[in-house]
Amino acid sequence: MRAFKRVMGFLGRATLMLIVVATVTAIVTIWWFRRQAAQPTTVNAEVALPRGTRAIELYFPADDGSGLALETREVVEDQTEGETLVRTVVGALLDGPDGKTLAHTFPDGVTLQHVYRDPGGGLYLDFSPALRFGFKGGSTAEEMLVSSLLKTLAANVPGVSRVTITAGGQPIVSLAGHIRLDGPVLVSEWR
Amino acid sequence: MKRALLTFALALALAFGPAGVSTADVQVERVGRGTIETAPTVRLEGRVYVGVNTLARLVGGTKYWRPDLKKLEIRNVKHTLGVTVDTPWAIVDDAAIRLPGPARLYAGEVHVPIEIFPLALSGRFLPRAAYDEKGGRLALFDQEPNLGPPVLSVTGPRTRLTFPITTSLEPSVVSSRKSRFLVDVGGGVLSAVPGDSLPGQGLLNSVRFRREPGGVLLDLALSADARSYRVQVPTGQQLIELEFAPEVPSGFVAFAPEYGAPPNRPLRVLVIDPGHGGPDSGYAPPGGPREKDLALALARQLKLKVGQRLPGVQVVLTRNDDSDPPALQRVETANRVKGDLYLSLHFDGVPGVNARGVTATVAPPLGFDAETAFGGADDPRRAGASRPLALVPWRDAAGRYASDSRGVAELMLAALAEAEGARTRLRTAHVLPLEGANMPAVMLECGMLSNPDERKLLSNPTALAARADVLARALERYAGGGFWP
Repeated sequence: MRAFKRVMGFLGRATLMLIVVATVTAIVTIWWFRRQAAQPTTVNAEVALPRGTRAIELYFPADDGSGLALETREVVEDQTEGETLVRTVVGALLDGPDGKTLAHTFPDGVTLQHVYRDPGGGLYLDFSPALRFGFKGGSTAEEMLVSSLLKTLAANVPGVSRVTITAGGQPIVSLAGHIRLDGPVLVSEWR
Repeated sequence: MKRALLTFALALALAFGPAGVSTADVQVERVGRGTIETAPTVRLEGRVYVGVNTLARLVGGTKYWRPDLKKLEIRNVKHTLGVTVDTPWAIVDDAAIRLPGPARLYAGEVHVPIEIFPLALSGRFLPRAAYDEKGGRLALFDQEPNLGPPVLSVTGPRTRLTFPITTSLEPSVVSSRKSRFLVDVGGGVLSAVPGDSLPGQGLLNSVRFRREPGGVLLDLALSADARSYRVQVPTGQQLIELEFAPEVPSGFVAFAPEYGAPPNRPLRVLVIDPGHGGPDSGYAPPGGPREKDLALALARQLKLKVGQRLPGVQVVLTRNDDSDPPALQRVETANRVKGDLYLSLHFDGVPGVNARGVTATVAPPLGFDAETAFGGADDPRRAGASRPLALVPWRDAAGRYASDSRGVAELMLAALAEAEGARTRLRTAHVLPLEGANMPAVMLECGMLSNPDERKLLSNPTALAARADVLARALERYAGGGFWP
């Protein structure tokens, strides 16, 4: 009986030691990999890209109405020139935010039809008629839409001082009766 | 056994303890845009590094990566920045600038010491950049500063605050109460780095500068001895001058009454505009009340309550049925009856269901010269001042009364917050319902119909009547100058 207990005691200690050694080995391995990850490395990085990339800044409304929040998107360089840049930026706004606490700026189904820039800093954006008929909300939603669009344009498209918004080629007096849109909107008033 | 446990504990500490890298956010102030955001950084080898993705975004540059050379280039229209991994040199255009540490590749992204902003990018990619290591803040100027450091001086009984300017700037008085004197300098970019304030001196108790979208807001508190102010850009001088006096000399304007004192313009005629109407339902949530119906119901209740509390005040409604007079006609009605206060009542809605509360909107102030020029012959603040001829666009007419409008809006919001715990917001914007109002004017969004709880509450006529009573009490305070709160 005593011999049996001695054998069992030896086996228990051996098992415990084995567990400790295995745990220590695992921990040291984790520590070593973490240290390696923290060390500056010369391995080729995933940032290797065939073309230049650039971040665009998008301002989306918070869904609690408290203001606008910033999201960024990486786009390739040929999408950041001339009118294509405007289409890229406004297209990203139309696609909507990634963040779950942010709301869409535009009503569903709205598309950007035409873009025109004049040399004097004017930008003309013609959206589909869904902008006129699909908008639902009060003055805060209206303000959010205009400020989201204007702040996003100001952040990404240099040289734009005023924006004229139309839907289906027709001027919009106001989306919900609070903010006048039948003339150019000054970027400086909405930055 | 004890030894095994000690080894075990030591191994745990080594594995899960600090690994030589920590992450932290840096506050980035975009001066000129008026925004503050946070940017991720890492601490490598005891130094703060910023990733090139963040860097390129902040300077609006396009990134090009050469994996064979481990070199990253960032270009914008005018400039090029090149950094090579494991070297401390930044090549900006044709200049080589030594950074305090080498560029490093960390987590698949090139990182550079954050000091690259003031050392290599300031004056090139950005007009100016400053980094405050202790405060963990980075200030990036999107425009050249055009508003120099303030100078506060006391000459005799008067106190002057001046700012040198390099471009044409027009300050506007947003609030002209002594306890909270606000001056908006639209387009102003202050050269000093954030958090600025000046200790009080003379008639000024405190001076703070707030960067806002589109400009700088001067937030001042004056001593009880101050009686008048003058805000001007002296002819031929490149400076903005704010001057305060203990009397009301010629060319100076008396402060607006504090809460608790009667308004400059007595409330004799109140014009209430129930928003929308007729075919224009306003915001109409599915199954919920329509904005136009609630606005009319609240306007009728408010007329009743004001009649009880302020029997001497004539109340005019711009519509008393389900019609939709054009915005222009509504304001014309108010101007024709020589209203002393115009309240446009609305209800709000946003795409989500979480937003709630009440929002007041007032017109932005006019420039300083137009405001003083159009104070009106009966405005006691204009005593002794000459009146130059000036034209104000129709859209901006309500801006002449921006200061008074803000005062009454603050009273109504404070009343609603106190009585109902409502979340309140005051914004300054050009809005259609206030265009052309020749009197203090406020557009009040009296609740958020997209929020199910508020919608349910506001559908109850008793709750709506209670809200009207709170507004009537605020108007009573405004008219009679009763102490608030």
